Amino acid sequence: MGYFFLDIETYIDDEVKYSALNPFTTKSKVIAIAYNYYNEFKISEKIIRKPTVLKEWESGEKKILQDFYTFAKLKIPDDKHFKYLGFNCIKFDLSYLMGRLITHEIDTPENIYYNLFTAPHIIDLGQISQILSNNKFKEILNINQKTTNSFFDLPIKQGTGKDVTKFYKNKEFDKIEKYISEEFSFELLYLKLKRHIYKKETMIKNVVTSN
Amino acid sequence: MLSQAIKQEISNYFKKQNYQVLDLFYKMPCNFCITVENWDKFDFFPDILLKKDSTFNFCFIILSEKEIFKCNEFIKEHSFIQNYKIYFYKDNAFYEYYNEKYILISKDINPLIEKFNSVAKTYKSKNDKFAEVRQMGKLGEDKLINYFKQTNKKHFNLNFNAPCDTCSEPENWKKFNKLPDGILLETGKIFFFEAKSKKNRLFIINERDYKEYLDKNIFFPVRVFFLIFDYNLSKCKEIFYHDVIKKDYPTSKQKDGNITLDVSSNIIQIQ
Repeated sequence: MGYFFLDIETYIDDEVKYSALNPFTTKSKVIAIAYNYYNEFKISEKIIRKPTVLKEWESGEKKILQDFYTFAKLKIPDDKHFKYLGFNCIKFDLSYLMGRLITHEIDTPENIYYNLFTAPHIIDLGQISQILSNNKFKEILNINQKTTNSFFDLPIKQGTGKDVTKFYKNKEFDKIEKYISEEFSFELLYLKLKRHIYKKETMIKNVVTSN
Repeated sequence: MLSQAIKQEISNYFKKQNYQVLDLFYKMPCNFCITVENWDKFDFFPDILLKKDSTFNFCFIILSEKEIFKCNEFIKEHSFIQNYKIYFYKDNAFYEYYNEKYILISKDINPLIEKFNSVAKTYKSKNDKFAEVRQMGKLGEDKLINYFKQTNKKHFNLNFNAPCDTCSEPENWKKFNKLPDGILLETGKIFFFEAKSKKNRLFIINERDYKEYLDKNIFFPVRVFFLIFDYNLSKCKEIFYHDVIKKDYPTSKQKDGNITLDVSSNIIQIQ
């Protein structure tokens, strides 16, 4: 019954700007992989800890990808309820990781897909957060992590992913770590979202009530 | 034990030659033990680790030529380390065995069997907690070795498999040679590794142990693995490691009187 909270940081090249979103460009690179795995039936605030951060600037991209992949590959057969959790992790983190794992030939594409998408469960907090979106069209629209965190009074990270590349180029690695630790509030966000859903509240209802 | 006295004397010889020496050989915590005398299940691994400048060597000290085969088998099996030496002792002299020749190192080795006094039992020993601690410890070591095998990490154990492992009556437990659990090769770098089994996510290390790890850092860095088990020890839930470095960690005093360091700010999760 494991919860694998995940976040990655990627490199934005000056010329190939979409290198940060597309894992298959010549300039694409994962700079850091942050995660926390809790082998628990339920998680609660008291067990939350700082995430493990695998750093490209210390070990190289291939090594951090190998370490992440080994973790998942060994754990998934042992934990039938293993689930990845992240913010936009389906569209971004897991997809980008899959591309980089294939590029570095860490395993066969078939196995990589199996360990990233087929075998584990995935809870994308970004997708779930869309039910909170307060927009005039009353549609389920995309919502970013800062807005969601703000709604739940959770800490909001300073800066954006672009800053990570700037820090990386300037070798300001402690600033990257600070950014990651501020961004990594997924456990609390998961708990807040879960409780919110079970209370059957929405942002709109909340706003009306507060008025 | 005569073999222990010989190894100690050779270790002392190298210390006098300004080597940094880590004794890896078994040291009996009692003045006499019939079980140890007849014990033929000791694990086989190098007896001392020598370091001078930046060069290190794992050294076997053998008392019989028959053991050369065992040494060579070990060296072959653990060839991820290339720095091995074999020393042979006979009649107060010791030789380096190299290229099937014996090169005299010293002919002035005079082993002495030391008698020592008993010391008071520890809290855990008095309260018969050792059996439980040892069982948990063994479980953690086994799980960790299994993890190394699953991930193809090269390693060897430094566990004696001595009868003392299940004995709660050592005369002087301080005399027992307490080593890290083994040697690990990780991304081209050699580490000592140590497994710590826990039933909860308390990333604490006994301050006294931590000082010993720091002392060993002059040979190789020490990596402490925390294996988190469920309450009835039926499943290893998570594995973390901590690389030992000198730093001010938060301390606390445990009910057994030990001071512990909280290293939770410096851990990496691997399972």
